[in-house]
Amino acid sequence: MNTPSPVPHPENPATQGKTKKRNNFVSIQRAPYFFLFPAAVLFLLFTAYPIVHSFILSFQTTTEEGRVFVGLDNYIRLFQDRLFYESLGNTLIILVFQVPIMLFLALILANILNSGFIRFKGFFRVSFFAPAVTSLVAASIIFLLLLHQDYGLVNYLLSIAGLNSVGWLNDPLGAKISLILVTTWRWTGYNMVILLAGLQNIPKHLYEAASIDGASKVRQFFSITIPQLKPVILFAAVISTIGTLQLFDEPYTLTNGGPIHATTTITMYLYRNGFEYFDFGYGSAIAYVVVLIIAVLSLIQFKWAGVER
Amino acid sequence: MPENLKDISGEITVWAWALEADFLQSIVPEFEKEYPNIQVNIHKQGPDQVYQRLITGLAANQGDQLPDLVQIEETRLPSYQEHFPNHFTNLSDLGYDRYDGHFAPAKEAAVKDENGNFFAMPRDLGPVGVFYRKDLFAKAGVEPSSIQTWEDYMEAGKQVLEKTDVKMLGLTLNEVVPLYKYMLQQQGAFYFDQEGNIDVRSEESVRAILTINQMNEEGIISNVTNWDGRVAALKNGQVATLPGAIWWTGTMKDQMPELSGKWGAMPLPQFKDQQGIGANGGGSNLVIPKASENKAAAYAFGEFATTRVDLLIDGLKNQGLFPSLLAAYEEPEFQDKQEYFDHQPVYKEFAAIAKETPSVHYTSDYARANDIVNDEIISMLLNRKPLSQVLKDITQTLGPSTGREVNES
Amino acid sequence: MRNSVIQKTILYIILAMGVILTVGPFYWMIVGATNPSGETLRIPPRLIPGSYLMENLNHLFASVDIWRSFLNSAFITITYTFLAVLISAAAGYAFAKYQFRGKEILFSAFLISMMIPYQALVIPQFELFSTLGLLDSYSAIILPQLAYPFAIFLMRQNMQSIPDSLIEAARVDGAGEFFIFFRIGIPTMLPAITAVSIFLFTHQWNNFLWPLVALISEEQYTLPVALATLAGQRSIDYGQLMLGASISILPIFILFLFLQRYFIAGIISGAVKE
Repeated sequence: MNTPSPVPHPENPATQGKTKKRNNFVSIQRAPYFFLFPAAVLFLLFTAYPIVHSFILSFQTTTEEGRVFVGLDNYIRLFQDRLFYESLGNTLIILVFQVPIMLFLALILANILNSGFIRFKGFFRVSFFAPAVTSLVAASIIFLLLLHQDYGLVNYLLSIAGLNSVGWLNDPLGAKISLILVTTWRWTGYNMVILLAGLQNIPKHLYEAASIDGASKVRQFFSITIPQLKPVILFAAVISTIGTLQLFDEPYTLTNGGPIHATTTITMYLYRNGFEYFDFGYGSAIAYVVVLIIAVLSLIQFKWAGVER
Repeated sequence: MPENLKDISGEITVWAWALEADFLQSIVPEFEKEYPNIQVNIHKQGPDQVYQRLITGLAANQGDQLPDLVQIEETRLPSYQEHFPNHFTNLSDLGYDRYDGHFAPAKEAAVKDENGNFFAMPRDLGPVGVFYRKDLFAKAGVEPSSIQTWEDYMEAGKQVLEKTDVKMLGLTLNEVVPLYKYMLQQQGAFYFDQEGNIDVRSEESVRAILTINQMNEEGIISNVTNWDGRVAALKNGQVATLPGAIWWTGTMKDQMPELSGKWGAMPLPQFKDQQGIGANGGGSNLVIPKASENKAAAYAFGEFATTRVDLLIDGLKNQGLFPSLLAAYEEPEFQDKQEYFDHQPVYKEFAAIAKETPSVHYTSDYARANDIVNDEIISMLLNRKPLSQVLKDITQTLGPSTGREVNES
Repeated sequence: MRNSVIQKTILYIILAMGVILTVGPFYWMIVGATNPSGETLRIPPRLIPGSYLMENLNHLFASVDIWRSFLNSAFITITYTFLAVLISAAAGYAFAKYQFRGKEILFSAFLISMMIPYQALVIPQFELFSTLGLLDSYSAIILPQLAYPFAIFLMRQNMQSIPDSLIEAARVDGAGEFFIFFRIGIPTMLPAITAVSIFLFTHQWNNFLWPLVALISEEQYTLPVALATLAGQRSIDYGQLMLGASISILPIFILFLFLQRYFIAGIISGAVKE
């Protein structure tokens, strides 16, 4: 594994000062701007501009005369919108269950694959990672059929086991569970790979010392693995939180937000308001509330992990 | 309009989906024979694609990205018209008003603006009736002609369930319940009244909701997930009837040819002491975005596609698209006794329904209303939410989000 | 000893169950692709591949130009990945190895932009591309996310681990800044670059909402857009769709099988360096 070792502080101006003076056009002072130029220009044009534009849109509404400014109306309306709260609630419920379950599973799988004696590691890694690189258009068709109440394989297997069929997509609670399951299916392997990477970076001698002291494997897991892995778990948690708070493709293709908007996520509600109800100003306002929530949650996660930035 | 057809020239792009796109493609050769200087490009896409591009192009104010002619369903027409009032061509100005009164009344009302100008050219319709399995009815001892009211229908349903263990109808309780919409329309009511006020508390609406709820409590409704679930339930004989639009006949013939001769059709049952059997499910239209640089050519093609009886009959035969042009209903093909329906002249009977269907005011908030109303009704069916709460939640959600008045009962 | 055999067995059983859960659906997709459409809805479900592959293939070819879409997707994705990796590597290098004015602000801007739901940006982006006259072209799909914040973030994290002494030594030898980047920065970062490449490749290959709106002519469709046209309003041919889906997933699988080692190595260094 080609893993670079930790390095001293990389951005030390003192070390840069020592460099010989050269006559290159691209000086050390200018170089970063050259390196950043393409990214910055593309970012400003194709990302920042649309963002500013949609932010302005969140203070506007469309009337017969075109777009007009309505101040904070969209935001005020948002706080009185029952469906907004419900979709926010759905998203948070999914987040609260899905991210921990997924990270827990990923941690277990990563630990197993990190044990010395397991063979065919490459095969297992590819298998677990496969769902993450699958186009959702395809995956959702599979799950629609697998979870179909009357014709799905899952209920068929349940019936063989003598259990009642479950309305995986027909029942509000069932649909939420299905959505959590499918999202977990898709992203567990991805997180497992991230955690596996972190596990392989934990110095072996810590475990050896613990073994000599007679600490059990379980104890080692909690006293060495978890603390050592904390920054990596944080990284995975932040990425997953952003992903789940923006959850759209899965509910859009699988449940269309139903039944009874049980799986309408906040981004789906945003999309509906824009593309189906033609209320783009309102949709944009929702988007910026999402940004706020993600920012706050990320901060909380950083605080919780005690990481200083 | 130029007198000589050869004088209209240019290239036009048309956006449409599925069978409508196939139909439009099929008439291009004939059209180009009559209009030799027009070239038509049919761009077949998915329905989501057509709408998403249309709304994106309009919302981004990029008219030049729009086609010359585009398919839109009547349920969505008012949304486009009211949100983008200056973006669609007034077709009456181009001469389409000469077809005033030529189409089924509900359809014609749906494609005109408040001043009576045509903004869309009417294509197909989906008159609604009840398809039923004759063999299952016979087995259960149900006489189809005895079903006159929804009460009769429910009684028959109980009998079918008891005798054959088959449910009377399938509803997609995780998506939408179009039956409620049909029941409103047949009574001349809708989510909104003619002024655009929210009208779900009306007597007609309450009657419809209670009827569906009672069917559910009698256990004669099967929850069939989605489109495929509905088809599969029909194919596997898990439901005895289908209250649905005429285009179902195409699906039935394609997907379940083995059931030929076992199906019958009848109009929607009426409500007790109420008149009205006409309701519509689905149907689309052609509009010309104002940004089109070739309106004359687009108009010529749209007119050709919507008013030529012979072509409309071909579309019915080949694509199963039920025309809205009244003249088409007089053609011999409409009188055909269909083998699949045990020699019943289904088209003729549904044409009669189409003529009787009252018009409804979809409004620019149809999509929002449809989502909210369906969610609430399904809450009642799945979670036994009480009617008063259902009505309260619909009006309290829909009122503020649309800024519309709510009619009290 | 006995204990560890039992332990191993349990671990392998867990792994096997994991494989069934993750790979099983793909197997079923292939079963669906080789059977007639209606078979998919049968009870009990069919679990062995059928002989209907050619028919489904013919249906698929009749409905969409799948090879053309495949080539479009391949061209767009490869070009995008190559350019985006280069751009994000350069940007990441600048963030990791230089001090300059505006660094914190720019980096924060990149990070914050990751939090905005993409659905909110479609309309302004359409307006922009329409004004630029770039809709319905490969550039419309390649350009918008060339500066991809997450890739820049990963690159920066990785680039921080390039020893400063290495860069200093090169400077002492009189090497220019670009030379150092291309000769030291990029080669030592190959695992990270591979990781980011796979990430970007996957991201672009699956890209759906924007191409659906931005691509208008059928000749320009990417695979996900072409697949979306298969689903009509009132019926779905499952066999055809499953086959199309299988075709669209295959290249990603093969790529990942070959490159997974580097991918994991790259994510490692990106994740660990917080």
